[in-house]
Amino acid sequence: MHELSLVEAIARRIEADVAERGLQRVQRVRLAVGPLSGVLPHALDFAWRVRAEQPGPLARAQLCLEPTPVRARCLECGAQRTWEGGARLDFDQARAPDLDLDHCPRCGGGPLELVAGQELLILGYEAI
Amino acid sequence: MEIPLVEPVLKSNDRLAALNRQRLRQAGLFTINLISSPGAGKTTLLEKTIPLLRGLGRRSAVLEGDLFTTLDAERIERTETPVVQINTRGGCHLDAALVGEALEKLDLRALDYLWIENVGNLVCPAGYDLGEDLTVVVLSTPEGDDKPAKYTPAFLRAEAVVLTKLDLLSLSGMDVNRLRQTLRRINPQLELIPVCARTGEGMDRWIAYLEQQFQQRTAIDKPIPQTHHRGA
Repeated sequence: MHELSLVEAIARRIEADVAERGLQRVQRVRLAVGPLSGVLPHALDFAWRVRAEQPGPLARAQLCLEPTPVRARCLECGAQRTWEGGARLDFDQARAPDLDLDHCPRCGGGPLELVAGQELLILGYEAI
Repeated sequence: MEIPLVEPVLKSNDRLAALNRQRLRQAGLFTINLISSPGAGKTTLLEKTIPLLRGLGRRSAVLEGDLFTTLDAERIERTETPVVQINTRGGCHLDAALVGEALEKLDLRALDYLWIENVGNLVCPAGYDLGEDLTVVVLSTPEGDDKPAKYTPAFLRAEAVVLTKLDLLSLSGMDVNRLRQTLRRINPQLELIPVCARTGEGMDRWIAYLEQQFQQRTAIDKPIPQTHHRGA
């Protein structure tokens, strides 16, 4: 449910940037979403559509979610491990049960340190 | 026209959280953010923890996050502890701005521990830094050992998990070993502390953990003592 306040934070940040650059209308906003960010993509989508019904530079703008993989680095041998689950961002289906930061498949040691997968980033936007 | 930004959605929250953290540390406070599902036992844990800390000479205050009502704040008040109620009016989590406003209502210099009891919700609070030193997930035995796998972000953020309601363990089907294994895969450094606030079981280990963390953090913040040069 915090997707509502996330969308508001995104909208305000972009509106401020649009005003600063003297742009008129935003067509598309790009967001990077990690499977471990705690965000439900469809809830984010829904909240965005409600927000984009309001008049203003974001009216009818699209929100594009770009899934990112989960990546971790072994603190012992430095090997990186990637969990590709990014295409399915649904929280219920996130790859968390597979996540194993305790054992490194290369050196058998560990632990591993999460280096990606928790992010929720505004990548940028397209505007005229 | 393509405009690149590349910045965290919660950047402004993170900035406010950093200000809270600086302010709290300057006042010498140790701050704990308690996250859990509704009914896991956050308030009961505090009702028992605060008097035990008081016995060690530590003064606590509580920021009580709830959607509505002052019921939990009233419970804390009965333990003669300063408490500030934060009603989010339907909001599912606390954020750094709400915490910053609430800090205005406390005499920070007269405190050692600041407890932030987040809104009962294992999902939404996980992304919001409040300026705390320690994040603790409170998980009760009836919730089951699958929660870390289902609600991973909260457990990634936390330094410790307090497993409450040990008196219900035999009725709950919770497998503590399986819970421990799941937690280790998700967050190998996580401390698991099983307690029963009602009977007092495990509370000594919880208090010892808190005091150890308290001393570690406050030692870092203290200015390095100047070397005393003795005369020849």
